[in-house]
Amino acid sequence: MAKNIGSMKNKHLVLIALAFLMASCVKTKTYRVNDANRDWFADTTNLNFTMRDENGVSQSLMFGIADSYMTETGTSILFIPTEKGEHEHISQSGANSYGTMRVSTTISAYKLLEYSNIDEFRLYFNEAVYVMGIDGNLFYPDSDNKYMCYESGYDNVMDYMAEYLDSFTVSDKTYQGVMHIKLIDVAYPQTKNFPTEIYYAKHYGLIQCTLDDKLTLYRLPN
Amino acid sequence: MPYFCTNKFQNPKTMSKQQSFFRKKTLWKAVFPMALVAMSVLFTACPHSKPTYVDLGRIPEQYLASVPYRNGDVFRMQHETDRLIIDFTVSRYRQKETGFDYLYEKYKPAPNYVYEYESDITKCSPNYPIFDVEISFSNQYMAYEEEGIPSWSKSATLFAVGSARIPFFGEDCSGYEVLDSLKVNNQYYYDVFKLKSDLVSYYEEEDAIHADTYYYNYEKGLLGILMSNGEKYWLYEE
Repeated sequence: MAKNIGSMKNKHLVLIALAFLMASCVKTKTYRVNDANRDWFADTTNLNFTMRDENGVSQSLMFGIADSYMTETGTSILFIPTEKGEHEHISQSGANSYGTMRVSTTISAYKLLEYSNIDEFRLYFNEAVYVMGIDGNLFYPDSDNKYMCYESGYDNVMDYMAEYLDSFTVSDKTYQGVMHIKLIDVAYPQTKNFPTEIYYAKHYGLIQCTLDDKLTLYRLPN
Repeated sequence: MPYFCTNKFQNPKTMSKQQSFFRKKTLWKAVFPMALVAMSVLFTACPHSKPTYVDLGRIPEQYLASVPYRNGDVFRMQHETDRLIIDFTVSRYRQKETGFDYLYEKYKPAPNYVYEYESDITKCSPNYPIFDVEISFSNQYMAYEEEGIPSWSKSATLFAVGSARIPFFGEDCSGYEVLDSLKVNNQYYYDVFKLKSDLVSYYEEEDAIHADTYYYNYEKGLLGILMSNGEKYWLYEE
């Protein structure tokens, strides 16, 4: 009897040891943001600029340098880790001098679903959060085949459209490689100064935006 | 006789040296926490911990008159392009606050004075995505000199992508640029302060657009703002 108990204990110990062994064998995989996606951040020479609206009111916008950081994720079965991942995030934030516009872009190397090259793109603009998959010039909707925009502090989830433009001209300057985002459910946002249309250029960042579907601001060339 | 010597079986006088040593150690263990408590009580009882409380009362009516806005007012500013008129809705309120003497915040371990004072805050929110305008002041005394008589900076502070001091109504205005009159949108305004804006601490990007000059009088409040890029906003009255 005592021998049986001893052998059962041994079995448990072996199992635990195996679990630890498996846990230590799980390799950490590092995911980096695609080089092609890094172009969507403003270069250091394009961080401070002026935007003027259709009524002639100007304001300054100031952005910080794009910042890269890593986070860890993992999956486990019965507390035994089966997968570990390190994901790179690149983020760039800025605001206008009048305190009415806060903009932040984050690209995360989550490598969404089966598309191994697709990173997650998030554009935070005041209370709006525009989310999609991104792989260079290609944009991807979510699994329901929809581009979704969220409103912070509210349960609002709204549809929007996203397209890539080879070039786009604002205030007599032509930008190459432009992301165009347009909210479809423009009547839904609850908060003031909600961005309903955005043009975002590679190496420059924000170049044009429309707030509350009525006031458009244009970036002036430096 | 202390309590640790009352053990009738072991009189300290008859104890060996070793026994005495352990006794002292036990005694120290018992006394140490009590000593700590006593010391903390002593520190808290030091004279610095009892500041003088001063109630500064209410802001005099004369100074309240330096800012002409009332809660719920709406005033209008016109952008120089004439295409845009912006409504600013006023929210004005007063509140009681508590502050210490200036020297305490700078150097001293405890305040000499605790002041209860009143603040008057006027917030003007635009119906357009531009800057807010805020004017605030209080009757807080500030002891700027050691052992000196508390002095009071008799002015209000105007904030609007920059800041400037507005002298209180009825007080000395020397050092301020005062215009006899100013014509804005075909109307004359009199006794107008021309106030140069400072960049406020959170706003030090000099090349960013900010307020350069404010025009202000006691009758109408803010009459105009000249921006650093040359744009202008003027009071609009029909």
